[in-house]
Amino acid sequence: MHTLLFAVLAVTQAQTRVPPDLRKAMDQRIAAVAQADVATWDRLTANNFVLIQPDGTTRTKAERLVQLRAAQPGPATVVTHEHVLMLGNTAVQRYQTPGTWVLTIWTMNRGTWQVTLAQASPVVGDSATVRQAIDAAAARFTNAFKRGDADSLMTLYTSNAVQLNPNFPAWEGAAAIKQAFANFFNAMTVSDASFTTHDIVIAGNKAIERGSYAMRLKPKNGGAEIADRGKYVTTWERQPDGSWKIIRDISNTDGGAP
Amino acid sequence: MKSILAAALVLAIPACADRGGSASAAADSAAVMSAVHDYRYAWMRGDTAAALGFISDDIRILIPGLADVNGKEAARKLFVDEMATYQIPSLTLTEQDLIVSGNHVITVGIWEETLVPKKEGAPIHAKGRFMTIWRKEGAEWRIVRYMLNDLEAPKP
Repeated sequence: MHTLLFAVLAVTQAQTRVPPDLRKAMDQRIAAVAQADVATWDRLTANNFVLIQPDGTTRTKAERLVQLRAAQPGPATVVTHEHVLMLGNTAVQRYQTPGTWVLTIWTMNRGTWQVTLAQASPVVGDSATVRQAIDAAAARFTNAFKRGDADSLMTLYTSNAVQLNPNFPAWEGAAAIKQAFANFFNAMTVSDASFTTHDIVIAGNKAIERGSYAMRLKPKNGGAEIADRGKYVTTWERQPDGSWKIIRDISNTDGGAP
Repeated sequence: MKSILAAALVLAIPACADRGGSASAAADSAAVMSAVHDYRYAWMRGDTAAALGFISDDIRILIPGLADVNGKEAARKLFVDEMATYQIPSLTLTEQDLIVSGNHVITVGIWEETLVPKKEGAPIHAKGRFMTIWRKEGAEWRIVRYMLNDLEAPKP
């Protein structure tokens, strides 16, 4: 009983230490990232802001603004394990989103709370967890491909992904990849397709999948069914929401199945 | 197939290495560029042992129309055969992209080359894309995954 009372009291005290205007700013800034709300994010971010990304690279405020302007609004970010440490006019906030720890430093700047530094660190899953996640994503890819569903396929690519198929120009960026898939599905009916993962190399917030494929395609303008098989190497990247998306993909063909 | 193999194994010198501002990422990019330079040079002079020094024990090489090359011993046989068969007087590497992630570096690009058979036959021109995965092993960078595909080669 005493323990429970103390715990409730401690939580209450911790929450009351965060000034209401800071609490509001913290919530607004997290929502601004999810909603691609550039104006709010800009207002709550100091001009000398630096983001340290999970792979160790950095982004300035200007660079993040470019990314945010190109982003599409997404679902609300799920925040857990939040803790805020107040140090006068400075606050250290840490919290977890799916797959990522985030640390932010807030300072009062001319009456406004702003973030001066943020660091995102991956919550690294074990190899089995990563394999499970990639298997699930790959299964969604296979199903969408077999349905000829370019829109669903595109949910598995990042905006700056690059697809490298043999004897075709590179498909660079989500728009180009979507158009290429749409053209492909307009020309071909996928009679059957399978993609088999052989192994996965985990590299920071990336996972490199090696696999093989086999497919049968029927031209929509007539003609004999086409059979193909080959190999692929796909680089997946863990996203801030914990999902995995393709950033680079290359394949080759064995020159047609028997 | 043989015509594309040597260039595929020579890989790339990244033109734009670092995608971010961290010192460690820049250092890793520079180290991989150096490794690529030395590896490429080993192939140009037909030095099998030097080239194999950049190959990880668990290498997987994925070549169009061939079974996967699994492991360093299989790679050794491949390298010996290729270097005994061809010289590489011309090799260009373009449209290169490099991604640093953890203790791995991913390189993507286009290669184009001329191979000259050592015994007889006309020079062979070939072109394709590659994706190479480098892994830091102790102080060294070695290749753990390599894939190439074909692009239509220009006329000689």
